[in-house]
Parts: sequence; structure tokens; C-alpha cells
Amino acid sequence: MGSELVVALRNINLDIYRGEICCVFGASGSGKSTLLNMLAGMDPPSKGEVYIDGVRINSLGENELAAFRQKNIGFVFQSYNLMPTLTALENVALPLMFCGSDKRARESAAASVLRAVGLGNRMKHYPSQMSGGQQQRTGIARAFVAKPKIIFADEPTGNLDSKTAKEIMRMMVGFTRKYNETLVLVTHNPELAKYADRIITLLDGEIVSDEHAENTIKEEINI
Amino acid sequence: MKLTDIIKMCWDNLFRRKARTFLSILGVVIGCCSIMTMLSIGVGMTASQTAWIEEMGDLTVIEVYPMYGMMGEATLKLNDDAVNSIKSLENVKFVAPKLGVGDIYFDIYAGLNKRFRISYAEIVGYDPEVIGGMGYELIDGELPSKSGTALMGQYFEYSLMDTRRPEGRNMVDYYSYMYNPDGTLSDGSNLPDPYMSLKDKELTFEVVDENQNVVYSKTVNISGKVAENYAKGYETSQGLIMRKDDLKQMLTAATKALGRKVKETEYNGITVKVSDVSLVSEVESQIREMGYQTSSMESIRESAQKEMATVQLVLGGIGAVSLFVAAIGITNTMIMSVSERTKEIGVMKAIGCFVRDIRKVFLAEAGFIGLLGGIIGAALSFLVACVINYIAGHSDMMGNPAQSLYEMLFTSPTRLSVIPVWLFAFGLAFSLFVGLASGFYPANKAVRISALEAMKNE
Repeated sequence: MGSELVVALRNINLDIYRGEICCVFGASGSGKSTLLNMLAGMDPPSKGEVYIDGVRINSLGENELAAFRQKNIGFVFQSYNLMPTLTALENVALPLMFCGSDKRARESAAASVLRAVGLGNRMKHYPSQMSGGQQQRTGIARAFVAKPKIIFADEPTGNLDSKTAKEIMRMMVGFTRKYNETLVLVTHNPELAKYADRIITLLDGEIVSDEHAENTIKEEINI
Repeated sequence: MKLTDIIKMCWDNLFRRKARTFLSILGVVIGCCSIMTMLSIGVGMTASQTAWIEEMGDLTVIEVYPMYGMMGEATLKLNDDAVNSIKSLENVKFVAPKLGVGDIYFDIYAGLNKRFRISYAEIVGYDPEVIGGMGYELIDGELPSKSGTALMGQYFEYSLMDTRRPEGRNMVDYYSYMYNPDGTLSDGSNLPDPYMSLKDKELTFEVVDENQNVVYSKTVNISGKVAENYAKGYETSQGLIMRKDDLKQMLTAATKALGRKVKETEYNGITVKVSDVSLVSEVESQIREMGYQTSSMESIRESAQKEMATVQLVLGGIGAVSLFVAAIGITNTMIMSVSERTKEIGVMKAIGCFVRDIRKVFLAEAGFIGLLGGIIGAALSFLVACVINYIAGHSDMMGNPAQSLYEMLFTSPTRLSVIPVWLFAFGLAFSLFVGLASGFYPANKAVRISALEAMKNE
């Protein structure tokens, strides 16, 4: 806002590889959310380029970007962002609906993902009828339902208690591994960073460290 | 997104805000109803006017008159050349020049020893083939198929004046029997018979010179009687319709007998029948270009229609104001809903919803409000029309008391409010259009919302 120029990120040079669970870690104001927005093509960088799978996303038009997101990108939000008028099943099927798939096909796909996140008995529930953990599990199901190549998660457990947070993290990591997807996780919570293969630490808009984690929680997660 | 998905999503959203949706729809209902009621009154007025004009006369007929100058003299006469040039026009079915008696005065007598004198007669001459095509309603006898025969008007026999009776009591004054004592039109059942029936009787035409000597005399037989119809001329009431050649011959002979110079034949008027109503104004303007004066029911109807169009416009405008207010209501509702759903729209964009689909969802919501309001409004205006017609049907003093409730509401030509199918369709389509148009701005507002809104946490 205003005319004052704020440099949120500088000297970012980052490659993220397929199958990586990558945590962007930093205090608030470090620029981690801005980085995520740019990676996901929601906020074009004032300088520089972002490529996903060889596609330069910051030069895509609105429609191309929408089509690209449908195929390649999934989101898990801090505040779940489920549609209040839709049931859990419909919420999960939403990305497929945007692709234009028909009701029966998308709802059977959504139902199987919902069962996988343990909400087989909550399909007809509306977001307001579910707990935070259940809502976020619905959110995860929605992010994975279209089998995207890369999932962006912005503080996915920020609104949850630590026990549920752990559950959610294990679920996300489990899905990512199972489908060999890429997860970019943005958090300021060191507990979450423990699940990542790679931790990128930001400070005042610059990468201060980029290391492969050694004590990653490798325990087998059954989905 | 599939159309069914868009409809479902729009329905969910409208249902979520029941009260607001209801109020917006109510606005459209009132708007649509008022515009349709106003227009239906205009349609009703036009319909009863058209019915009235059609009653007045044949819509396919043009009457042509000579053009008169400042001094009342005919500057452009209706002669045989004029007849021929009108005949040569396209789409003219037939041309009936109407021959009058001009400056010749015929004394007409009937009965034994010229007992009865005709006090007044409008005498016209038409071509024999035209007499059949004029559409006269023959109530007695037959058309004048032979030379020397003529048709008489329905009340011609009442112009018989008995020369054996004293003045003042020598005629049957049929005018005094036209009305009942209470002032309403009589059906004619109490009308006494005329002094004599002229059916198949002979009339004697005489012309006298300034010394009252009979210089010309001719007899004409009455072949039949036609019903009175002022649209076809006064002669159908108290006059004679003769074969043109007969009349022309009589006029020429009488003119000669009076020692006057025989002039070129001039017609009082020419009746032109056009093959179709839609071509009347075209033919009429062509005749006017020739320099003649014309009148037709079509030209009366045209000017009446123009007047009615203005009335319709004013009435429709009054109705449109309330629909405009409703449109503002929809826009307001939709803008509120867009700003409430900013985050949802951001999320939709983030997870891959096409911009065009977002626009469609919002347009569909606004359009749905318009369409539903239109449907209810159209139905309501039908009820309003019934109420208006019921009240008008009761208060109409001229109205036919025998008409049933159904006639009064749906078929009577004097209904005040008429909703034809096109008005019904127009009401729906216009409401839908108003809905979509008022959703246009909010939909654009929704489209411009950034996907970044999804990332904001309150």
C-alpha cells in the first residue's frame, strides 16, 4: 500500500526438485509468504522468473494460469478456505468441477480421497459442522484430488492444536510421498520443519540457509 | 465448469442469503408487474380502438376526392383519366368511380299518376361490376343486372311524400322511430311500414326547365334493397345506386334537353379497393402524389396508432422506472455479495477456477433474480389485469350487461388491460435482461478479485 517501495525478497535463487518436501522457514515478515505467492503464480515478481515444470508461470495469462493451476498446483490454506455452501464431498470435488469433469466422476474421485483422509463418514457435512482438524483434512483432500505436481501449504496447521497439527502433517507428508508429489510448506513453526527433507530459511527477504534435514521424521505413514 | 454446476452454485448462493434474495426478487416482481400492467393498458386501448375503426369501415378501401382550390372549385378533377391512372397502380383490386348528378336536378315520382314524390335522394352511379364488388348487404331483391334498374337504400322508401295529403302529415318520419322513449337506440321493430313498397316498382325521373315544363323523362326499375352502411355511402340509407352508364346517359340527355353544353364526366369520388390492408398506405401515398385528396380507415388508423404508440411509451416509461429501481436493488445486493465473498472468490481462483466461470456464476445469480422476479411479476400482472377488467367491466355504462365473467376478463374487445403472448414474453425477457445487466458490474468486480485474497488470514 502507498507509494513506499518495500523489498520483500531479494537474491532468491532456488531450485525445488520433484518429490521433495521443502519447508520455507522463517519468522513473520521474513518474506516466506511472499515467496510462496510468487512460486504459486499468484503474485508476479517485480523482477525475475518462476518456472514450474518448464513453464514460466509469471508470464502466463489469467486463463492459462487457471488451466495450469487446475493441472499442476494444489493448495492447503491456513484457514482451510472451504466453501461454506458446499458439503465436504463437494468441496473436495471443486477443483475437478473447475476442470469441467462431470458430477459423478468428480464425486467418486473426491469420495475416495475423503476416505483416505479418514472422513468417509463426513462427506455430507458442511464445513460449519466439522472441527478444525476435519476441515483441514477436507482441505488436504481438495489439494490432492486432482493429483497435482506440486502442493503449496501456507501454515497448514496454524489454526490447529499440536496433536491435530501432527496428524495433519503426517497426512500431508504421507500423501506427498505416496503420489511422488512435491510439497512446499511455509511455516514459522520449527515442529513442522521436522517433517521436511529440505529446510530453506529466510531472513529479511534473503535465503540465509538451505540445508537437507537429517532428522526428518521418516516413520512410515499409512494412508 | 458445466452449466449445471454454475446453476447449482448460483442457487446455493442465492439460497444462502434467503432474505436478501427474496427482497431483490420482490423488487423485480413489482417492477415487472408495473411495466406489464402499464403496457397491457396501452395494448387494451389500442385493441379497442382498432376494433372501433374496423367497425367503422373497410380497412382496405381508399376514398379519393378531387383537390379543391381556394375558391372551392375543383382544381384537379376526377375524370376518366384519373380513373385510368389509378387503375394502373399496382395492388389495386378495383376502382369504383362514383358518379353524382352534378348540376342536374331530378324530380322522382312513384305510384299511380305520380302520387308519391321522392323528397330527397342521393343518387350515385357505379360500374355494374363494381356494384357487386362493393360489398353491399342485399336485404331484398337482386343486383341491378339489367340496364334501367337500380338499387335503393334501406330507408329510401321513407322519403316517399304523399302528394294527396296535407303538408306536415304527408311523410313517415322514420327518424322519430330511431330511438326508444328512454333515448336508447331502437331495434326498428316499431317502425311503421312506408306508404308503399318500391320493390320491383318503377320510378319516374323528370327534369323541368325554368318554366316548369318537363323536358326529360325516364323510368327506372328498383331491383333490390341494400342495408344501410354509412361507411359505404349515404346512398345506402336514403338513396339510389344506379348503373353508371344509365346515369351518365340520363345526365347527358337531360343536359341536352335543358339546352346546356355537355361537359366532361366528373366523379364525386373514387373508391379504390386495395388487395391487402398492409398495402393501403403505400397505394394511398401514390394517389396523393397524383394530387388528389384521399381518406382511408388505414390513414385514420395510422395516426391513431402513432398516438397510441406515444401513450404506450409514456405508460411503459412509468412502469420502467420501477424496474429500474429494482435493477439498482439487484446491483446493490450483488455488490454486497461480491464483497462478502471476496475470500471465496480468491480461493476459487487459487484452485483453478477460470475467470469466465466466476463471471458466469455472478451473472447467473443476477439473471436468476431477474428471471424469477419476471415470472412472478408476469403472473401477478395477469391477476392485476383480471382485477382491472373486472372493475372496468362493471363500471362501463356502455358495456354489454349480458357478457359473462369470462368474456369480461379475457375476450371482450373493450377490456382495459390486455396481455397478449408477446407482452408476456417481453415481461420475462426484459426482467431477465434487467437482471443480467445489473449483474454486469458486480460480476466484473468479482472477476478482478485477486487469488491472493485466499492467502489472507483474518
